[in-house]
Amino acid sequence: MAAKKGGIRFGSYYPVDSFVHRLDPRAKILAMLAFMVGIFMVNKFSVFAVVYLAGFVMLKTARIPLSKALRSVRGLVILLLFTSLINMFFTPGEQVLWEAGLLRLTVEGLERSGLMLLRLVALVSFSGLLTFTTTPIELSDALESLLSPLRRFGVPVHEFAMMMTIALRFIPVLLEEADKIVKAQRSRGGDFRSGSLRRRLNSIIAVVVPLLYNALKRADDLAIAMEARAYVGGEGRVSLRELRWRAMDTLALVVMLIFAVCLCVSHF
Amino acid sequence: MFRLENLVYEYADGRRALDGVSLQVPKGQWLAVLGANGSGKSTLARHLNGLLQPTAGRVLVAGRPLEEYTDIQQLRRLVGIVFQNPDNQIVGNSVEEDVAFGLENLGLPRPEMRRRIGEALQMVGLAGREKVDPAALSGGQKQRLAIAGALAMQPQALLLDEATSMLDPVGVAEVLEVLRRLHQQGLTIVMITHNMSEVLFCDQAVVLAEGRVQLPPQPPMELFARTAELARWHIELPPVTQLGLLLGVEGCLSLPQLVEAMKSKTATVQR
Repeated sequence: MAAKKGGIRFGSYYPVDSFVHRLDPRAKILAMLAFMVGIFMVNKFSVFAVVYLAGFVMLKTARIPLSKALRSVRGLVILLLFTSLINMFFTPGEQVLWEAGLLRLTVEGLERSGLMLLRLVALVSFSGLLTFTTTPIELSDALESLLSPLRRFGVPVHEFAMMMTIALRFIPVLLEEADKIVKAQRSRGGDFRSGSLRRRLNSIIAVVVPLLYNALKRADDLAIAMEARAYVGGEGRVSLRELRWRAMDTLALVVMLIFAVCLCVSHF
Repeated sequence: MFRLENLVYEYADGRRALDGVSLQVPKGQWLAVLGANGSGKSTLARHLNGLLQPTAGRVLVAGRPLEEYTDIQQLRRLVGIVFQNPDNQIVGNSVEEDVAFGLENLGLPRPEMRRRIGEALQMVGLAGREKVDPAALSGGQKQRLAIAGALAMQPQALLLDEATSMLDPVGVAEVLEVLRRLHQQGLTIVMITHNMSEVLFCDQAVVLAEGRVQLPPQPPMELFARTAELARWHIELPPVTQLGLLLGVEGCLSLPQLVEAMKSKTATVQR
């Protein structure tokens, strides 16, 4: 997560204008869910070629550079390698290529490991399409709208979305505060980089405790400020940001659903 | 606009934050509430828009007692409040979203919201910055944004609870300039402050201590002449007034006034 003071730059939103950026965030969430399910079901290399082709076309349409999409994979290299190796050497199979103790390299293992790697890379890099093209606030609004039927069952959907909005608003404030506390502790001899584990933990506690105290104080102040501005919960509230579902949202969602169904069918 | 009749407020442990405060703030007045820490200033302000309810006594807002405002939103619409720390009262992730927060709570139609946001930002000098992240604003700008959030609800009165105490001199000047303009347009302002230089802008100032009104509302010039009483309640005079007193001139509220007073004093001595 990249957080930068002075701009709304959380997550990985990539601020350009594109067809995908302009889609209703609800359509994007639903389409992405369908795509993810489809990717999970793929079990053939040839179908993965189609998935990657579709993914690249979508990235191109969204004007997201490939390097940006692959950057999210970079952080997960160790996990990807680990999963691949486990699959490669511990998958039982008939055609044994190499064997040493518990480790056994089989054709089936190689195939499964390759498919798993392709699946994970596709999931990680293409799921970014949602967060690259949708601001966190749009995501929060879309989730509130999509989950709104749950209100009937007493689920506090508005409160959940408001929590997300406030959390996003306070991330830079708390980061700045944490930075100030770290500097204050350092100026008094606090050491976060060297010394025994116990000593380092103590230094971290000396940052976390005042940070938590201040965060609670801020929460109290904010609650009063919100109350003073007539906040009484979600009842009767009208959001300034309006989600508009247009024909192109339906079209994009239908295309993605058909594609996802095809991916699922390819499994059998 | 506000009438407080023998207002008493007690904390849960029985301590009295306000102990029989009676006060009137006419419509369109800019009143400064002065007092040391713990004197009851903030508690008083929070009664004026119903954030706190009196333990005893009465608070009348626009001629109606607090308890008659069954719809709390009506009261919040009438009286806006701006607090000390701008970071702890900004809710939105952009300037526009933050100003919209109160309007969204009132359930106004979107075109009306947009119109009011534009007007409020214009009033505080932040027009054109609708999409900016509040984290990117200076302290003074953040506090002006908080004022815009309150103004968008078109209140008849604005309460400022030490709203300038965390700002640098530039920020303080920006906020005071906005308040001066709003006052000219007829808005009632109740300003709680420790900064005596700000009091010079007000019509009247009242001194609170130990939960009671110790010096009733009066023009700042008259108040600053009561040096002994002010000292008793730990209220420091503005630097220019202090300088005037050292030079033998009483009740000076600004440098030009002091210069004029000194000129006429020198002329009298020369004659």
